[in-house]
Amino acid sequence: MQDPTPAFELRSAVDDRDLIARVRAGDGAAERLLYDRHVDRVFRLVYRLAGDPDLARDLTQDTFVRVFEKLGSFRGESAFSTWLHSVATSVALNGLRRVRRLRRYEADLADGAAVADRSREAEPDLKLRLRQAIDGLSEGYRTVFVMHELEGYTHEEIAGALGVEVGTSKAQLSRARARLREALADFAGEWTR
Amino acid sequence: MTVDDRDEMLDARLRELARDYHEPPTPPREEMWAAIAARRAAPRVLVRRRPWTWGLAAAAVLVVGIGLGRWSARGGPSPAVPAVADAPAPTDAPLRVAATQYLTRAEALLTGVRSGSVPVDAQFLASARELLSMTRLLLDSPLGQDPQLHELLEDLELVLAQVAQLEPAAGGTQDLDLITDGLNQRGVLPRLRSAIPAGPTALAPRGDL
Repeated sequence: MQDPTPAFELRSAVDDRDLIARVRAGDGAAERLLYDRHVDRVFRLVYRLAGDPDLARDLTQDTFVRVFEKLGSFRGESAFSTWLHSVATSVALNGLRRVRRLRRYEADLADGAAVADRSREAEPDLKLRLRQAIDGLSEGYRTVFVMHELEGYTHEEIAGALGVEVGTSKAQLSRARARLREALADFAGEWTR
Repeated sequence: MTVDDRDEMLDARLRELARDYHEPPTPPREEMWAAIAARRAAPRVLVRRRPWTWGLAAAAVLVVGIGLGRWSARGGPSPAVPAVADAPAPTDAPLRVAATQYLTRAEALLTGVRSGSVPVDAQFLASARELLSMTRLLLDSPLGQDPQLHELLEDLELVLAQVAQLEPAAGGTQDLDLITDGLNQRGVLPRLRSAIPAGPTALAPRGDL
């Protein structure tokens, strides 16, 4: 995904302001337009993080319900997209933590039975290893890697959404890449072709 | 080829290989919109979480709380922090102590924002970001299931997210005005103050807020 151009960003911010004003005035159609403008990007990000269609759908819905509830008190006029993505990442990461805890709990109940994703068994070793390595990254590294490398967010956007400094986002991406390179070291001849 | 060149090439290949990691399908726009509309039309119901998740949330909030305490000891705004209650503690007492500390520090920071007496510098922004992280942890904790506190935390999340994005170099005067307007309109500070126990005690048990 390409970064938006400054002209697009400007137009987008102006349109958002207009839509937010209309939503505050009780215009339901504007609410839908605001949703339509942003839902694809939010869903894509949440799906990349969750990797599950039902969970991604629920978390996207949670995000918009929360944003619409709080829109009346939103004041950062030019930063709606940043705020929306901040809510989306917060909702997604909290949701994923809950799911992970639940899965751990259920796995404990099943006497430590491994939770295997059979659909992955038929995939090439290299991609399987990469997927496992990304899954194995810490939450911070994985989130930054997914946002920057797969969904094209800038470090400024990531910093705004995650509430961290731009330098932190850059450092986490660099460490995430290093971890993934290490994880694929056995495949060096194959994956560097 | 230098090491940097090699890493750059490997990173590009990595990106290419990772492209189909959790490849998103077409978003089910209509289905999600219908669910959002239905939920917004329905009365709000807060779901109580399982007790075994409480300890994890408490530990996480405490860890961040300790970090904030250290920052405060280094010279940040440091209002009096309520001590742990002498009364018999409920099972989530550590979380309540951390929550009380968090609310006290949030109140100090936002009072500074509203009065314009705090410089928007790196230390201030780091503090706002840490408070924002704590807000999210608390929202996900059992304390966040209290309707009153939940609403306050959501308002705080919104305000702190905006505070954390202030530009230190630009002074952020206009943004500060907008944030202050938001604080006033939502009555965040009075609600925040009333949520902080007056005496040396931790946050009151659920229902007494």
